[in-house]
Amino acid sequence: MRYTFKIAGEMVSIAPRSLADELVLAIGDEDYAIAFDHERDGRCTLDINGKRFESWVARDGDDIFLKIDGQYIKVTAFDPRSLAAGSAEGEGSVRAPMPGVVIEVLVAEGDEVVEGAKLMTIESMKLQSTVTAACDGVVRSISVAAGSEFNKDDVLVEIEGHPSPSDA
Amino acid sequence: MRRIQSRINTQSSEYQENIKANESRLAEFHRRQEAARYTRPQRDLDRLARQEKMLPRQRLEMLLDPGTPFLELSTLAAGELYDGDAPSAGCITGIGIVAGREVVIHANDSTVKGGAWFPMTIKKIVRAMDIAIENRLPVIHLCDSAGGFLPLQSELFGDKYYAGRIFRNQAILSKMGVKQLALVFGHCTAGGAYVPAMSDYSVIVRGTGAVFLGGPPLVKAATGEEVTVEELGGADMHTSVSGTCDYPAETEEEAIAIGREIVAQWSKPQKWDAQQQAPEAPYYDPKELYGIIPANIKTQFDMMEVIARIVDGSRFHEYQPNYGKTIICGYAHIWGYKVGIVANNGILFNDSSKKASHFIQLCNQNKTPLVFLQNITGYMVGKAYEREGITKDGAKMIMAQAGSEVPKFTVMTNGSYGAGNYGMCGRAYDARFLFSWPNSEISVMGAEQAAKTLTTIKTNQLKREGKELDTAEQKRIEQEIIEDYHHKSSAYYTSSLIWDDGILDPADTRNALGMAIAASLNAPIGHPHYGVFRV
Repeated sequence: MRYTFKIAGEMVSIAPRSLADELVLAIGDEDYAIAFDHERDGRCTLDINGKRFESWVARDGDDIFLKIDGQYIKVTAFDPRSLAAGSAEGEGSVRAPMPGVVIEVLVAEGDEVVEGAKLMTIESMKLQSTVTAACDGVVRSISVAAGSEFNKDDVLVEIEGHPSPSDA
Repeated sequence: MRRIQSRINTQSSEYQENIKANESRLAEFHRRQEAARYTRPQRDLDRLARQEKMLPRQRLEMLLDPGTPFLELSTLAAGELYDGDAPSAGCITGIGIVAGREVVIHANDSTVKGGAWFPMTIKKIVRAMDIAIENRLPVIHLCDSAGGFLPLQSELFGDKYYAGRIFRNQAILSKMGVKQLALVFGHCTAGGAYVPAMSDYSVIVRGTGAVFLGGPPLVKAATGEEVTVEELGGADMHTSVSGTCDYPAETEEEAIAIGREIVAQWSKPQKWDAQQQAPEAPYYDPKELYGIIPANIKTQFDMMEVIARIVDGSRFHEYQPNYGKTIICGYAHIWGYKVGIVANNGILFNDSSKKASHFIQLCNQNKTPLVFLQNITGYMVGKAYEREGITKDGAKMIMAQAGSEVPKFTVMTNGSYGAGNYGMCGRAYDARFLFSWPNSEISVMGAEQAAKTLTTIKTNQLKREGKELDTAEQKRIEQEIIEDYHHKSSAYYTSSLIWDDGILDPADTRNALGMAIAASLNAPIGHPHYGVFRV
């Protein structure tokens, strides 16, 4: 499998394979045999195709900072699973996930909301949860009030979505 | 594995409110724990000093390998019973490391009524021994007990899981080839005498240690014979005449040193070859759990955020991410050990129940230990759900639980109500270890629901008698029930009854689970076999 890294601003596709103790990175059509020795303080002796480099490595989340040959390089790993997972398109009608009762309505008709904004608190089976907006937009109608009961799939709030930039 | 992306805003007012609520909960928890461990009447401390005995925790410190962790169990057992007279149920139990081996510790605390066994003491000891059996862990008994607490003898003597079970479990352990060592620091009278007698090895301290079925006063009463403690059951008599004990020791320190040397002779167990990798700290700070656990038990929170603060590198492979989303299933590592996690993220519906049952079976197929994070208000009720078969879908989870063979670990993170407790590996479903968070509650239904149900019954009853309940009276009854319910479903109450193996600071969960998983791998993992799933 090939992995994508952003190295010093450039996207690079690398296929690693390990055989016994050896690590080989295939970059483009070329193979690089890699060996490295980590020290506790981030110092690392790197061996690339038999050539040795003294380097320093620091990690910050998904970013790796490498000092090698007097140069600083930022490396970011891209997870193919996160690239593949697209966000679901939010629809305008916010429906009840289960039967329950409204505890508190947190918005009013005409309010501007952003995706993830809290619309109301509901309670079902002793559990209070928050109903949130699935898209940016304006609250067009609210069909329930505090204390009202609802069934699964009942529409609680209608949100008129803002046209997405691509439509504009 | 992909890292969980936390969505928590540590600047939000909600987060800050939760922190405040949980800090006060933790202060209360630490206060109770400190008192259970160390607060004792001065006269009891003076008596031990007079006898030149060490305190039980000093013995423990000397016995355990320096610098190794000790997973103490049920520290708050009996905390809400016996007017608080038996802190920690008068004994210490836990998993520790001695001479490089994982062992179960059972130590009497003679600063509590002379180490007498209260009913909860026996429950706690039997539980520790069950842990030893289930996980094949050797046991070290630190004996210093006056015997059964006589005023409560009817609650501790003749039943199946009462005192006799301790010695029965000792025999079972020996039969399984799991070793036991008794260090006799004080008197072991009556039933207590069987603890060293049933151990494979025993060391007894000269002067203070004694083992006999009946002490001198009882012998005098029974037969008229006058005899001293030393003659009747002292160290020299037992190690040179009766052979009931093996090694005499001059001091407690020497007894512990001999004990450590004995353990060092034991063959090291071959642990189960579980899938393992180098441990990695969670990417998200476990202390952020204080801002995630809600101030109000009814408030929903995202369990994925909790998982992110327990598992290695906050990395998680989620199974069926888009199906039955009110339960989270997936693989992760805890202290390097591969585990399957089943965590509530809402009410159990038909799809979430089926997903959990399937995942429990997958982990058994894969011989992967299972961790359950409970926050469950129950299975969904109502006509539509019954028609979809919610009851039989819940039954599937119970069937999968009961047929499961992999080690299971349960953490009560918030609410645990009704049948949800069962399906999510509550106490009855043989979790190897079960821990609670200080905020957690367990009950057959929620307090408000119980109050409503009970007042409805009361109203109907009065109606039949032609009477009516006025609203003020109804409110009063409801309030009473709610308060009693909250008290009796609190973690302190249930932990007092040993419905769990102890209460944890949430930030410590990962460490406790790490030790528990490591200990569980002393036993091999068998093949799962199930009954009939109602599909």
